[in-house]
Amino acid sequence: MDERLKGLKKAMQTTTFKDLSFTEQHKQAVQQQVSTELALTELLALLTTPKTGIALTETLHQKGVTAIQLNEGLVYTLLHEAELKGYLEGYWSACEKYYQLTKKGLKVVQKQQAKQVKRVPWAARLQEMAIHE
Amino acid sequence: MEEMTVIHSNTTNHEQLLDTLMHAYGQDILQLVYAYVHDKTLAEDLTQEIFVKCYQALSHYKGQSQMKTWLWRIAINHTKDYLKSWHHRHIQVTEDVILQAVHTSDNVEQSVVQQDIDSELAQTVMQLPVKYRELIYLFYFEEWKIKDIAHVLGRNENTVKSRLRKAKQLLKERLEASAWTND
Repeated sequence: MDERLKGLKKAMQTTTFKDLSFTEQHKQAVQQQVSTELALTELLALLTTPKTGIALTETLHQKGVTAIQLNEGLVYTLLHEAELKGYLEGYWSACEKYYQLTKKGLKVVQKQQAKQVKRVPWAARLQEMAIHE
Repeated sequence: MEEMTVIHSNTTNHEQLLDTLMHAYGQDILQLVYAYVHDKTLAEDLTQEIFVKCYQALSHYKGQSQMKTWLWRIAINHTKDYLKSWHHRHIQVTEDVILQAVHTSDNVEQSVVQQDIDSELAQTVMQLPVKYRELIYLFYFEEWKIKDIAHVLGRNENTVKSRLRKAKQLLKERLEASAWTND
């Protein structure tokens, strides 16, 4: 049995996995989802003080948030979703809608910031991986 | 203000690391997941979810285990969670059965002998119960050490060893049984 199982790798590569491929498209789908989440993090972090959608879009643009640069409408989608989740609330003032974090939203922002401030030497780790590959 | 710079440079690094990981292990993870779920579209979806999850978890990674082992743990746990989920148990199962049936009839028509032997082995492995299949896959296909398999699956080494023995025994019986029916 052991002898036969030595051929398993080749056997599965040529049969089971022959139509299976992790493509550039899959990679992009992941990157897109990640950059949307990143945009949400940045957006929430800005809403500790009330801001309008237009002001938010501008600031996110200036900060170089890729997902927003590619699709400005995303700001409103994210605002809407975050409002539904109870992370922020909107109110009207002088014909403009302002958004501001709720207590729940503030907790989310604080948690995210605490997570990201912990510094890990990624550069070293990347190098280490490059050597092993 | 300084804090914002730290956050920003750190996230850029995480994105870079994610790219490197997808480049290095994307295909391996896709195959690993497929070995569990036996469905191409589902394996592709789960693989994408796994890398998103991996990105989210990067800030928790403290280097206590190798990055590859760490990623495999995320992948296996995510896939098993899916298999345990309501959705899978109520909807997916029937598709699995149909898929396996298609595979079997494909097999009948294959003419090249070596390919028949290969696909018979691969297929018999794919039809083992998950708890045996994962061991055969990790040990013989991915060539992991028992110690690492134990770590990745969160079990002790003796359990892994005895289950692997049982898996081989079961595989042998099934291959012999199918040789019998083919004759």
